Amino acid sequence: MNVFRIGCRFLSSTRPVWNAEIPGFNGAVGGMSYLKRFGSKKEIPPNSPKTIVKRIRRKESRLKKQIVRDVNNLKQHEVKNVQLSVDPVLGDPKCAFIQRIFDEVADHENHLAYGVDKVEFEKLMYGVEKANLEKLAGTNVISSEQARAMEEKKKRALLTILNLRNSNSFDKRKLAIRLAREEFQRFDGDTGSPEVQAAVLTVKIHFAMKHVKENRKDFEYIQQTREMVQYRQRLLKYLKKDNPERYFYTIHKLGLADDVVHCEFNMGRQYFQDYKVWGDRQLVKLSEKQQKKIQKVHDLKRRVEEYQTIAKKNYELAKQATTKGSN
Amino acid sequence: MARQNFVGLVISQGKMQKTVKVRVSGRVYDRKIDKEIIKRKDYLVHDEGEICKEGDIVRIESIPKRSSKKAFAVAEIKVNKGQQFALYQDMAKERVSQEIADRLNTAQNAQAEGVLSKIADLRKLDSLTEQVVNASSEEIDGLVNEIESIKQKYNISQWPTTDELIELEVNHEAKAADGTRVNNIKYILDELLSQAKYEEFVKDVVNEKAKKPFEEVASSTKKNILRKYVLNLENPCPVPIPHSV
Repeated sequence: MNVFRIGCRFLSSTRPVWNAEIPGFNGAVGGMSYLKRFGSKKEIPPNSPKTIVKRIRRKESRLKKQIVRDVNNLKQHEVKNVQLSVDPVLGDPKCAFIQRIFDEVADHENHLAYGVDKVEFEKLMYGVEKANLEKLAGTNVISSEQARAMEEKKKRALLTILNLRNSNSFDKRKLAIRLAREEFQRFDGDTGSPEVQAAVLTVKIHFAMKHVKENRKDFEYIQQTREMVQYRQRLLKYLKKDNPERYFYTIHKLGLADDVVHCEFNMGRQYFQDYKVWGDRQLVKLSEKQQKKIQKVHDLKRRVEEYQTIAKKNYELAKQATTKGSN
Repeated sequence: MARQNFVGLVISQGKMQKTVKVRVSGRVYDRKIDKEIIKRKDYLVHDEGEICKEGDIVRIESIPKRSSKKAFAVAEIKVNKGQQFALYQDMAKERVSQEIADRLNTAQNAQAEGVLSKIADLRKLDSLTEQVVNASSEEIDGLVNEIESIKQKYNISQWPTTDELIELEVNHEAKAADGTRVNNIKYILDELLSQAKYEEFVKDVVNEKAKKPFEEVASSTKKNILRKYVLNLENPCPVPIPHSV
């Protein structure tokens, strides 16, 4: 798809496609004329009679018209069917913020389960060790080294219990939400500003989509997710009106885009099919007429691509011929 | 004759060189349906400097035809909202990438790491002080030096100490009960409403605010009135506040 898009821009640009000056081409040659000239060019065998030459020329002109028509039709189609720039639910898959949040949630080293803070835990364990050592100091029952080893053992046992692997996804989601909130908050303890709400919803949506991917029959949950997506849209629309600077920062950080916020979007079957949430499963049945229409566009794209390859080939040949001629 | 003038919204930009599409809308009376309807027309408009952005509101002015479809040029930009948004978008991109770079450069969560290293150092201090007792005379100098350096690092005057070196979250609550009215409001209200010696004070305060006679005022309302009264620091509070809980 991407390859095609580049091709299309190349076809539709009005600027010269290459800068090299080729004698006989009047310097700047537009992309269109490039196609016309080379896509439709046929080779005429030498010493062929006039009638044959005429026939070939006629064929050439017909093909030229066809090419122009096809390219223009495709251009119109592209203008009418503008695709969303990013996934309207999950946003940009390369979004650094989301990746970081998920990395943190998977980080067993620095985070503990059940909402226990790692640093606070370390401090407490040190305090407990000190207290116990002091208690044992007068008694002379065991040496301080033995006592320390015992404390270490206790600490390790606690760490095993508090390992993130023992927590459920709800706890992980809670941690992710806390991290997201802390990054977006305007002041300490801010939970209500629209950007914080949008960030929290984004985290929730990511967790929800993970669940939806695995449980495609959980219709209730899908509906809840759908509502979250639309609520986030509404919040962001408000934020744009209220504080555009923060709005653009927020959407960029969350991996969303302006068109995604403002488009009419419903997370329905079409979305699940287009973004392959459950693999290559066909969810929307098309009528014969619709199928034909899609096939038509598909054929058109293929044709234009073909013209392009022919044009490129012919252009190379022409270039070689001119360089040979000049030498 | 004055030139033809319209005010409209830029709806498309960047697709043609030095050209923007401007939507001009106006109210037109429709005789068939007998009411005013909004009619709009899109113009291709010349924009020499290419400064307009989608979302701007511009005034356009008629000019001699520049091309087959262009007979207007941008005269002024009335509201530059589109330009602002474009600027904000660029700023956001820069800011986010800057944040990512900052995160890579600086150690993550420096504060937490500082606390962890402090705990490690204190542990070391403990073991060093134990070693000093059993150490031979040759080793003592090195150990003492090490101890002193750690002490200096965290500004510790003596070891073992009774000072609080590490702040625990568990202690916050105890510390919060520091004798202010806000932190002890529950205790104060309980005392006021239960003890007989404060009855007169309660009666005075409640009678001042409540619309009903004292006997008919609900206990929750009394509590609310008292809370508001006590929390205002200008008012006296008869209950002595406990200084340590």
